[in-house]
Amino acid sequence: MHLDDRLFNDKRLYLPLLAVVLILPWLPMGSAGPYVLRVATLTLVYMVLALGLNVVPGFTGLLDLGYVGFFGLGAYTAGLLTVHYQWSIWLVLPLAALNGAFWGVLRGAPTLRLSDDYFAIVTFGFSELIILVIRNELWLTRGPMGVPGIARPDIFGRVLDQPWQAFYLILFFLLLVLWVVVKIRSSRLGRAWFAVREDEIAAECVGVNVATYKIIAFALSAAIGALAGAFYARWFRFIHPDMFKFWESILILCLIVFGGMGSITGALLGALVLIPLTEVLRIVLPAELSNARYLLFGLIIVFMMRWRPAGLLPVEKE
Amino acid sequence: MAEPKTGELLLKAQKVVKRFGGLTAVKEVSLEVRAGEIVGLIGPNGAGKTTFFNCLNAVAVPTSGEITFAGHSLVSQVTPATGRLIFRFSLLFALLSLLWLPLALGVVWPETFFRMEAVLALSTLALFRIYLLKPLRHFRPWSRLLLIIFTLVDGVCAASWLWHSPDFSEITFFDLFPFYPMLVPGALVLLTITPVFLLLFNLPRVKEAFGQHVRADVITRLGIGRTFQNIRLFSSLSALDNVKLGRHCRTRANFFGIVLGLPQARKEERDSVAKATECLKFVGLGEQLKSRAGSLPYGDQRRLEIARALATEPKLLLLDEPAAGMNPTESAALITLVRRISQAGIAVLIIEHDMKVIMNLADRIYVLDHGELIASGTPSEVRRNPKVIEAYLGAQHAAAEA
Repeated sequence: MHLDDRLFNDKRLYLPLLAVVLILPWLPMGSAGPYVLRVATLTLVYMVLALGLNVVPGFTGLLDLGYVGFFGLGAYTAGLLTVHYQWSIWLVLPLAALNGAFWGVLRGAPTLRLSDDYFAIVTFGFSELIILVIRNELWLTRGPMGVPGIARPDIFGRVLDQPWQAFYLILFFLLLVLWVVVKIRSSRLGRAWFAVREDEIAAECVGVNVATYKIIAFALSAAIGALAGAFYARWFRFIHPDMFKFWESILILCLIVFGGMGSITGALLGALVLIPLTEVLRIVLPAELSNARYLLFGLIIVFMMRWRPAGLLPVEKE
Repeated sequence: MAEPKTGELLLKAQKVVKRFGGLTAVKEVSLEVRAGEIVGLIGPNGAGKTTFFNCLNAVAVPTSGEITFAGHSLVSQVTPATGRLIFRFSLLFALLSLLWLPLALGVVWPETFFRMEAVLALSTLALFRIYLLKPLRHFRPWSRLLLIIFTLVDGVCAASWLWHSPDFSEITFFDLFPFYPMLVPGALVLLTITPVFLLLFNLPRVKEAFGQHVRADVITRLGIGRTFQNIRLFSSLSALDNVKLGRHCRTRANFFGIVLGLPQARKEERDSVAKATECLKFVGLGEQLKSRAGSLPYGDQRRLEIARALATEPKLLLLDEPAAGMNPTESAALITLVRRISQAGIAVLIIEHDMKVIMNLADRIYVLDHGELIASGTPSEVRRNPKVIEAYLGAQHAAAEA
């Protein structure tokens, strides 16, 4: 049985893990507490992103090099709506996710017939387009000035201004996304995606409408990315086009390659290992070398390709 | 739906032609399959058997000809290329009409939306509409009239806008109208909705008029299941998941049903496990539910493919060389299996090179050579037919036999 099924169906496995995460903000960490909590929150954001990206390359087998576009789109949708209308996060987040899904479908529809590298190039181009629009349309996004002063998340009219509250909020969204992805993965929808990944012609011949299912995957993936972006904007309270560079797409892709393409546990594990690692390296390395920590990513991926080409938790077990 | 009675005409292919550039792979092949029959399709290598199969379930689109299955026409009578072109253009037309919406919204927030770009977009829209008049000439007359009106409105809008507002930032086109707040946005929304409505709500008729090509997955749902010559399993999935995928076209659960765990979706999932297990047991793979499809032995993979096709509840099963690479024991088992499928009320059309298998199984046989149908009849008739002997063994042998 696959590890994903084992982990998410066995209470004895997932309850202790959940308990550890739940008590994390209350562990005695002294002065390091706020910092650790910040890194933990960031890790959870990346977990959501990794889960979302995993839907397209992992489940349907189409390489997506432009995921940061949807992250940025979600962040700006949420940020601008919040700044202009002071709406609650519970309204802004679904709107951002819907907007993400809409553009995901718009990107997906013309690329249905593309495969492999060609699809990857289009995704890359599309995300660059989104970022260019964000950077240049000053009247809408304020461009390189960024959008400062975004309101914090809130619940029932109360502002969530404590770090642990933001942590629990993103944990809630992570569990929500996890619920959706796990449910879908083991359903007829998930199987249809796997069929498309394995063999499109055979998928058609068992009655899978390949175009529809690809579009659903694009929409879901983009919506999750935009959701993460929307939370990020409300949590970080400042957004800027430079936060959504191409590098971020590669980083998120690294997370799922590290964990094992198509594996939900793998995507979570990838974010859990690599995101805190960058923070640890930021402390360990001298200041002038701190950007060199990304070199380690390359190194890790190279070693992975050598010894675990299918990722840490590969989907297929021989 | 009532099961077709034995002997009822199920599949009828008439003068099917498939051309690849200059090469005609299938030349005017006509063929019939009746319910309950096992029909063989044989011919030397490269005779076009598999291409013909592909035409039957829309993996390849026939260049011309007619295929009907259980009363449904599987090939559009408008040539597919033209049909597709027209259909795409009309979808584009619908999309362009959707572009009106932001413009209509622009009335609500003029300072955000009204810019030079909007004027340009409007003019481009008008140009596009004019361009579309040509491919859409096959439309019904009244819709063509609508299209012309849209084009004119677009053109007039853009022109008057350009004429009346030399400085684009100050005066907007909507200042020209007295009923500024309500009428104009209303009219624009109506203009947007009409063409979308026109296309989407007339979709079946539009498809009929333009001959939308029937997709492979639709054909599977209509009741044609198939296997492939070079096995096409989802090799990294388990045997059970492969067969459950066969249930895909018979299940309905959608995204929300699955995520919310609605009872209907859960029941469907249980049912498809039960049905898939049943299919696997039917072909004799009841023990291999959890094994990875790609790691099964060759013969088992062939049977798994049959199980997957059976799970789609076909009325007609297309088997493409099911006995290829099998030893005599395995092919004997295959013969029994195909017999059992036939007894279950499923018609079988089978391509096979192994003469022992085909002569044993088939009620009738069609013989293809170089894309042409050269003979058809019962196995004994076909075996004696000089044309068939010539195709397989050469003219000398045919003469010697005679």
